[in-house]
Amino acid sequence: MRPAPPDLLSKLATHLGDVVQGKPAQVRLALTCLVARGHLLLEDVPGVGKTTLAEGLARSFSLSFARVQFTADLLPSDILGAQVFKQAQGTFEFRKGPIFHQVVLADELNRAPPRTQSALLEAMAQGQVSLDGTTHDLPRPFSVIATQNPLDLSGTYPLPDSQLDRFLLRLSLGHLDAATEAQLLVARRADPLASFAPVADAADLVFLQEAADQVQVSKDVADYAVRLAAATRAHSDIERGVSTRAVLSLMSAARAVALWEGRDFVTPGDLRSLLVPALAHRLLLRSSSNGAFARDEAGHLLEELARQVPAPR
Amino acid sequence: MNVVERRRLRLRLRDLAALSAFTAVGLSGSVPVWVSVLFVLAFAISMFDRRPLARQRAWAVVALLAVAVVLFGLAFKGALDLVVAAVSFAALVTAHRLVSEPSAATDQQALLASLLLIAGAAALSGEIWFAACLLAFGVFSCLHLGLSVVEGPVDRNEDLPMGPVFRQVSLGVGLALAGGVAFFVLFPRLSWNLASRRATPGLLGQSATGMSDRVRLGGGGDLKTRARIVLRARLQPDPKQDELDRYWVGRRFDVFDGREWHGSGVPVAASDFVHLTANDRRDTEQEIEVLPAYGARTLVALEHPVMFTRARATSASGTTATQLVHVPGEEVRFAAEAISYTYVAYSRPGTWMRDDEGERTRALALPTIDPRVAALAKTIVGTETDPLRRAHLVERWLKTSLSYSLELEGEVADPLTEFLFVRKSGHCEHFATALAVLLRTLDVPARITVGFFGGKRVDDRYLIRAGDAHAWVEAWVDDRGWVTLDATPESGRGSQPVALLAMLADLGDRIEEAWRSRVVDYSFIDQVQFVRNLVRPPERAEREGTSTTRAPVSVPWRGLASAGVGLVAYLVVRRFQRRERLHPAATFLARLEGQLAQLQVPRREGEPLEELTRRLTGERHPLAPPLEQATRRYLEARFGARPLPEAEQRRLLEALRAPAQLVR
Repeated sequence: MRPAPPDLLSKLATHLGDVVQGKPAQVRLALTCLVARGHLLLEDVPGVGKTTLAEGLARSFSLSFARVQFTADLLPSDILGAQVFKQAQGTFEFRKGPIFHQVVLADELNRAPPRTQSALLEAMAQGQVSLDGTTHDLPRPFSVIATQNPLDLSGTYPLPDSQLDRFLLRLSLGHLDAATEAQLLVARRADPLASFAPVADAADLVFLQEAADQVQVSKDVADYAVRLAAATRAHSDIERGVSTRAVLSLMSAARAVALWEGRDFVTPGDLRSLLVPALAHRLLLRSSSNGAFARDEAGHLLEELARQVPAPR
Repeated sequence: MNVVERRRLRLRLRDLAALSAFTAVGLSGSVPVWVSVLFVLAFAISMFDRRPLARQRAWAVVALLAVAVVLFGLAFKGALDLVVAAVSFAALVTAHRLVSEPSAATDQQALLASLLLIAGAAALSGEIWFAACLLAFGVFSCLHLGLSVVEGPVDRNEDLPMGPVFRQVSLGVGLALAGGVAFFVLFPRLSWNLASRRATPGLLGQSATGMSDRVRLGGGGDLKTRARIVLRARLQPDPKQDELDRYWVGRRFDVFDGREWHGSGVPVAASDFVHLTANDRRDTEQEIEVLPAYGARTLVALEHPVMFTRARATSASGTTATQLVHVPGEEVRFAAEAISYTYVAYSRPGTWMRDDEGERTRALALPTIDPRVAALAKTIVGTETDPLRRAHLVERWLKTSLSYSLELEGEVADPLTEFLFVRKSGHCEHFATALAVLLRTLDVPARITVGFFGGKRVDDRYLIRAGDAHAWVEAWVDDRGWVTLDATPESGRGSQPVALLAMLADLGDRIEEAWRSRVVDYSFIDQVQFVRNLVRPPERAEREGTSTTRAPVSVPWRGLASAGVGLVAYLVVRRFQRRERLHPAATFLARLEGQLAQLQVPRREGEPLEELTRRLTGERHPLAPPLEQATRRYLEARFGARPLPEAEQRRLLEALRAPAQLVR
């Protein structure tokens, strides 16, 4: 007997909270992203637990997991796989790359050249890989968790806006507060992931994903989402507002969020809570600031819009 | 629009508001010239975004104080009217604020001083152009204030699209002005005229009739095209005609020297009324109002005036009774110099019987004139001997043989012969002179009369314009008396404004008339009447037709009232429609929020219910559990299509009350 979605989700969140300490909100959003069949972009400085979170997510659902460290000389075949000539049989055989896992961690995605980035991003969009005229389906459920370092921009190939659009949510973990950090130093002995046991399986994830699909969106809430999107397009500080795909992603994430409270409908509050993680990375601002500054500014603009656009009552 | 441009726009609006206010005062013509010059200078400097007094704060204040001492010293000595002194000082304060460092306080002071200017202008004048200035001031200052309010919450670096902002602010300005008008109409108050201190006719109200003490031939007749109103008369009995084509007698001249006419009467002592004839059978009573544009002191009345009385003069010191001076055979004039007058005149149509040997003799005197004139007269009359028929023959000859023209440039040595034999065209003074002189050569006593011809009805009064000025002839015929003769062709009698100009002037008259009767002369009694008419539609006006009293509610007012009622109905209907469009759960939300406010649950500004509930839960607020349930049910009902019955609503709200009592 499978528990109800909110129970399952809170069990997962508590479990993940053991390895990613002091970040309940981010854990919650990362789980939401997975349930919404989305890809997650973690943008933060090294050493705050990005990889831990990604691996923890994979392991909680006992999903297959692979980590690819992106570097400037990484080739598409390093991710997707390649045809290998088998001398004994005299034939080519396809050897799958790390992308053929259910959760793929693309570490420091912006260090790879655009060709490699786009190979990954195509796989993310289509859920399949085409090589030498053969199409290989990727395993389901499939999610990419990419990380990038926003401050260290030298020697990177920043993701184009169109590719950023493929990530459902963007999160930054941020540093721990002093108390949690101190507690971590005292308690931490071995690698917590080593002893990390799954509490759910892939079928649970599929169940959650299907439950999210059942969540209803009333017309008022849809109108609200459209008004929010229109506000980003009309805002004088925003060069380019969000796309229709962005609104769709926002709504699918909101459906997943509704599961946390066991609701089968989306509320305006769900949309508001997702506005920054789901939309901030898709905005092109008019100001010339870059990196973390642009991220903060986009977040502030969206919070301002959330205050200005009247919610349905 | 960025912050710099917005600021410049605001300052421009402020300056324009100040300029409108000053124009209202300046046009009254009472402000000293140096004050006007200083103000205009300050305005120009401010328009170029220069603020020379920003650094000279102390000196500027000292200079202002000095000016204040001078102005009020003048007022104390009696050299300057107190209101004019106050207005001048307000104008200088405004000017000073315009060229000081702009800040919110400075802007408000500038507007406040401008408001004083407007108040002063209301006392110094009340003409229609004051209304225009008031309107401009209202619009500019409201826009300025509106933009200042908008500026408050806007971030300094934020670009503001001005289109929508102006749309909203303009709506506010429109509402404010409409509210002002409604307040003016409905709020009980005294008549504006009580505060009036009109000292001068104003810069736009200069005299225009040229009713001088002589008639000089030569020159053109641009007077005829002037559309300014000089007289207004209410007639009793009311002739009820739209165009009153009658002669209004002003002044008679009987001495001609070949080039110009002048009078020869000797004034008699001033008195309160003047009887022009022993027979005081009064036929037409005229309540006449002489406007500042008239610019002369001669009383005017319909042909033929019998009596003048009840003259009142409006001057700087207010409206007082004035005496009348009679110059027999020439004119009746006001004893006191003033801006405008009112009086009552009585007239009797027909011929003028008063016989005076001296008047007749003087009406025969001729200067040395070209012999061709006498010869011409002889040719015209031929063998006719009857003086009246002779006169009519000459009159008809002039009317048919010569043409009317206003285009007469340049001075000529002998205007009469030039008119009769060379140009063969002229205006009314030429025709009248020619007729009088021709008749005199035929031994018919004749003199010219200057006044007006016409009268256009607007509302219940007849208006006389500067262009209605006319000259004609009175000839003495034994047994008939003084007979009115007019040799001027019909086309040249009344005023001749260009068609478009006439239409505009007509419109202007109507607006000005409405302004005077509805605003300046509008008093408590009119208000009572207005409200009464709103409640009970007037039947009286229809029964009496266009009666002499003011029509209680005219068509535009009725239209305005019905438009207002329609607007209110529309708003009410819209309001109800909006109610209906509200989701049923929204009423529960309103009740819930009302109860939360009543329980004094601390709530951040604009905090949605969901977030409030989450926060209270986090704070372990005693109200959190019932609130959580209520919020959840609200959200389900509102967005999840799970209806919330009335009973459950009450139960949820009730549940909130119990822990609240615990809190207390």
